[in-house]
Amino acid sequence: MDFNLVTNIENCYFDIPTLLYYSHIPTAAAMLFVGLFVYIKNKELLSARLLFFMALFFSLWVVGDLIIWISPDSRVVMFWWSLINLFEIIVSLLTLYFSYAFLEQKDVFPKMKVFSFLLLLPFIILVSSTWNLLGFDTVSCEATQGPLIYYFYFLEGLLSLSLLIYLIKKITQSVQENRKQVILFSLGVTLFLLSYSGTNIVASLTGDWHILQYGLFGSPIFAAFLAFLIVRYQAFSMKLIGAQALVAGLILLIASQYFFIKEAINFILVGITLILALGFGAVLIRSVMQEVKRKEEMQELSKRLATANQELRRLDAAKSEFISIASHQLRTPLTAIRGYVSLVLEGAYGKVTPTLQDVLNKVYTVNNRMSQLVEDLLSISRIESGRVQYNFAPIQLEPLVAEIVDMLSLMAKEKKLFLKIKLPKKSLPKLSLDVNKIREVISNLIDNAIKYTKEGGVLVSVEAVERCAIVKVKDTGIGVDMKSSERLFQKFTRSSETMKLDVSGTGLGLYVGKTFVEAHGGLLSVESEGPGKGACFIIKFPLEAPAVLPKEKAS
Amino acid sequence: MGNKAGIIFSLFFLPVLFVSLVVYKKYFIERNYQISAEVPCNQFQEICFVYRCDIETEECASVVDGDTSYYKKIERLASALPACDVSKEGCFIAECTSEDSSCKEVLCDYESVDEECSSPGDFSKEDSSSGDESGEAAGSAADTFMEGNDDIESEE
Repeated sequence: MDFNLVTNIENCYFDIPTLLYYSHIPTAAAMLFVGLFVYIKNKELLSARLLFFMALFFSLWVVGDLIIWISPDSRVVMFWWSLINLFEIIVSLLTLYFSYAFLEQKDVFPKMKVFSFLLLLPFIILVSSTWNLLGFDTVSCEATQGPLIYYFYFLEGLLSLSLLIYLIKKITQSVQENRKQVILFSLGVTLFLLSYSGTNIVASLTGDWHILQYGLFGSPIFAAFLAFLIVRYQAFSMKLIGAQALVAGLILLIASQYFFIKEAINFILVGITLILALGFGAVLIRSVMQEVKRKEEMQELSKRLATANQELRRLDAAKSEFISIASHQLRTPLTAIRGYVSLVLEGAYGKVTPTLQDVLNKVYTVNNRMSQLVEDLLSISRIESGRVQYNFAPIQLEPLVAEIVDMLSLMAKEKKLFLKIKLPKKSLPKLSLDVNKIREVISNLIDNAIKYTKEGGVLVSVEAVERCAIVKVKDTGIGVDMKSSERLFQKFTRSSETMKLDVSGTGLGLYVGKTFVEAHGGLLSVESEGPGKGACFIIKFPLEAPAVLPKEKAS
Repeated sequence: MGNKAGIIFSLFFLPVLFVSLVVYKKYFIERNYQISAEVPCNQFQEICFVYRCDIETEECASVVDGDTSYYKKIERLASALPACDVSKEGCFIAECTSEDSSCKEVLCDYESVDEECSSPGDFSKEDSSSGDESGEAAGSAADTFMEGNDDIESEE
């Protein structure tokens, strides 16, 4: 081989450390891979672009450094050596810029960009002069660095310190939920810069360039931190790409061992490791893919649920408004009608003829039914909205039932039916009841019994059986077909027998009654031997511990 | 690319590209940089750097006086260097000529603590006579070099 002192320098042929290729090629590839994929998936994100440029300049630096090591041509060495310090400063600048953009999620001030460029300017101007490189030493096969190296040290120190201060400030200022992410990111960036820039500076000062090989391993560590952040915190919304990057990086690192292994057994072992890594990597990627898909579906469902929930809230608000309107707008005229009709019937506006009285009574009755319907509808609305309020208080059941029977006795008398009450000999303990609700339920049952009985009458009984207070309303009326008895307690449902009787009803009373009774921990049921054989509606309340001693009551 | 990417591109890439072109022109086309080489030194007439080859750990070649060799440093512009193998006959760069202003011979400095220097006075009359012969050889080699210098061919 013909050597010369310019293009083929003899001293530049020396044993290249095998770690050189392993430390340079996979690290550059890993960084470039992560940077490129993050950029492709997030083109609009500033931090993604910065990471890509960082990776690009880092890779350029690595390529340049590798060429410097292996090239016997002084022109090539001088060319790359003059540029790699510039690349390194740019990487450090971009690391600072990227850290800010990533953590703050915004761009730096334009003044900072101008300042950064001004810092870089001396380097750019002087890089091709002897301030940067004095010449080439054919003995050591190295370029001789000029005074610009001190400016390089100064810049590196300044940028590293600025980054460190910023990251510490960021960690202390971050909220608890973000802190772990910030710490991980800071750790990754710091390790990267310390290992890469730090070893470069040490190597430059000591002249032992072998140290630099180890420093480059900070890069895949940084890439791994980023990939972890991506996977764990969806830092760039690329969980799958993060998993792929991890696997690719791992495979690359394992495969690059082939550069320096010499023994057959190591060849085989690395091969086995590579195959296993490929296999498990594929499984990992597939499972991450499935998880990502499931999560995306869940997110979609969650979005739809949120929309539906919003719509429901809107409907609920509309319902509340309706209830409010109904309670005022519907009740008010009905109350007014009832009031005026009562006044007319009482003779407040003069004598009322029997014909007129009859008509007015019908108006009064219909008005009452209308009021009842409005009340029932409002009750339904409140029940379905969960807005029913119960005012529980200790109540003696017997006087309540007696009061209701007394109130409805006139109605029974008009239909020539009997209405009897049977109370227990021993007083029942007081029960925790909402008296208005229970009054409504029992009134409705007795009212129904009277309505749906042609002849005979209604017996209302109160008794205590097996730690329960039972109220029974038994009639001799139209009865119930037990096969369809469950439907009686549904909204807007009336039995076919009631239809035959041509008695008006909303089909809401039993639904409301059942709801109220169940709210008291009780049960409302019906028993009948069949149509035409009367019916018995039973309310069961669980007994509380008696508050007073029982005493005899007259029936 | 959006505006921000365009700014980053302009801020970093364009200057780097420009600088790379300038550097390329300097080193590849003009070869406008100093090359520093070690060349044989006449220890009888010049203050030379002394290199003591350790036979046990190194491959010692060009051994003069046992395991010791004498050299000096020469710095020249890469464009002024001949594209020939200095270890072969006919390729000589040990002397700076008056025409090459960039050429610089660096002899050993006694005040330098890192380097061992030889002294012409250390050698005996017998050595000086053999030194004359090597001096003559150096002179004829210089002529050869002068001829070779005129025929510098660019590698590219």
